[in-house]
Amino acid sequence: MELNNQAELSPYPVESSRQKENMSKKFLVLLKKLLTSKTGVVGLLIVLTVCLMALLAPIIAPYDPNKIDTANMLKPPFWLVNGDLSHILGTDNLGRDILSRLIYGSRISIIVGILSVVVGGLIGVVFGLIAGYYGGIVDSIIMRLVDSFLAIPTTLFCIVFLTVLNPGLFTLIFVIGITNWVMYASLVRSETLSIKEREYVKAAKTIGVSNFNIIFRHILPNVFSSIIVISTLSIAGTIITESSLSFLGLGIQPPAISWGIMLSEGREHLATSWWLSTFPGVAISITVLGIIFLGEWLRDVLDPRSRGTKS
Amino acid sequence: MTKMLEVVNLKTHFYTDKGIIPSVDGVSFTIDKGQTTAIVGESGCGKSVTSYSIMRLVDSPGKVVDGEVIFEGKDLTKISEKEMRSIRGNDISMIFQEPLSSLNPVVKIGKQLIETLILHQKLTKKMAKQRSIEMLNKVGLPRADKIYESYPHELSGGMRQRVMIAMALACSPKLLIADEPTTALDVTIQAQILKLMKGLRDDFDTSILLITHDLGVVAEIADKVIVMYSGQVVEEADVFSLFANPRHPYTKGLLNSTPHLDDEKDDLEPIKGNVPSPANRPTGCSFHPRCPHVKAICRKESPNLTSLGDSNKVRCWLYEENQEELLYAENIGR
Repeated sequence: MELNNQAELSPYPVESSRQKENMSKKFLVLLKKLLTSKTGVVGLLIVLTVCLMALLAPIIAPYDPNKIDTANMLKPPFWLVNGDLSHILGTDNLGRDILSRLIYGSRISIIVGILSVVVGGLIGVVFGLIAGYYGGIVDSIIMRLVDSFLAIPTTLFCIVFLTVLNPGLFTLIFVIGITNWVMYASLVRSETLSIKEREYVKAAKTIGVSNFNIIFRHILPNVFSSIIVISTLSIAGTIITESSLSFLGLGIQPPAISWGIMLSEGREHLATSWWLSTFPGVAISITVLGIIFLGEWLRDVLDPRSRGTKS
Repeated sequence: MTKMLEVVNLKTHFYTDKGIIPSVDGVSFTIDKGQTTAIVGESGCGKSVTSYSIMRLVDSPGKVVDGEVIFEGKDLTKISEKEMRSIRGNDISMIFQEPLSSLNPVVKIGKQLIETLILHQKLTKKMAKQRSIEMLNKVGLPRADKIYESYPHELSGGMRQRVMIAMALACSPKLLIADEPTTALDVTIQAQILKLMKGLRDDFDTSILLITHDLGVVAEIADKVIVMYSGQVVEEADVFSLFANPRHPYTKGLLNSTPHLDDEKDDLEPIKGNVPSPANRPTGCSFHPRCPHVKAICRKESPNLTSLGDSNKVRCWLYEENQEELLYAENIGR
């Protein structure tokens, strides 16, 4: 055929060594892309800081977070009268160092935030894909389940479960995850409904691809950017849920530390010592903001359709 | 000539709120090995539904209610879904009208190409990649290895259609169904794609079922032409006799409404009226409201697809042998 010649003249022979080069090049491109997006950089920095804090807590924390020091109770942060640099962010009603507690508290918040999103996301995405793709009776059953979950107030649901089950880290993760799956299921279902009608899904069927592969190789990548957005948003949400449940005394149990526990413990002294509750609150807000920034950037980068456009 | 595919009395109906719509109403034809058969007709005449019925991909509420699709001795309407899946893409594959939307936008070209090879030919990833790049070269794409790593939006419409063809032909299917493969492309690309398909047909000895409304494309590539109207075959002829000597008034109308360079006439003659809605077909011959040669019998009874001695067939009262007698009988009856 005439047209073959064109290809043979191609100056790019097939080489396998080029692939490694490609990989590192791709990474550089990704990094460059990150640096062009200011919110992306800010988000990444915040998230990295919090993660490092959680990882290196024993090294960077100035004090043992549970060490009671009756000589230094309710000490204010260093810039206030009576405050000094030995306790930068002050101490609580038992004389425990707030900064050290914040650093240790990040561990629980990060673990609960991420794992419960993973739990809820996995359940929700799988159910959403199945409901959207197969439709019919399967769809009805799953969506009625979703509806019934939506009818229960989240906090009530968590409270009931956590009082029945043993409160603890993994029950907490599981329960928060379960309350979350509904959101993923309905989002993924509606996206799947529109994607399964696209021509390329039909094209995949004409080459004999099985339903399983169509769902996971062709439809899932297309809903991925939405999942990223919603899961980063809900990491933020789960951190807040964890805090409020711990605040109610149903989440993490002392002496374990979480930002929520710190918030709840500081409540009694809010009128006289505002720093007890303020710093964990600020930590929650900043972390949540960082995750949202990062999520937005990730969505832009992960969607090949928006590549090559300025973000 | 050996038969590749035989469609016998295929009926595909759509079960809608407004009642049963017979979109394909008893279509029969055969496709011979290594030949290109074209199905021609206006929008809504059931030509695409016919092709989906062959692939068994008619979406609900549509359903193949009757008929046989015989491929290599097997009736495709009766085999299991698993068996059907192993035929799709391997023995019969399909290319679509819209190359722009037929490729998954978030999956790399390469990944989409090797999928069918790994699935049907049980190749390893590496071998599949090699074969895919070979295929991309074969369909005339330059820098095939680069395209292998690209996403669909990075390619032009013509390039994407070539990728689709490469994908469809990757397993050397015995039959390729092309549903208006060139409609979305501009004329120069159209010519290239047709040439490519012709070349590949000869290389791979693949039969092609071409669905189109473009008579230019038909003249270019087809060996046999099936004219469909309102869910039925109205004329079947080899390409030369169809253009030289169209029999059915609808075919004549189609040809007259296509511009010719060498024609002296300034005006085209469109066929008056519209294709009747499949839900509301006229009695008798479904073409009679638009037919210039309409007779009394046309309004009452539907004609049969009659052979005209050679391999050509037509469904029209004008060619029924005993037409005179029927007319006579009709007049007596009055």
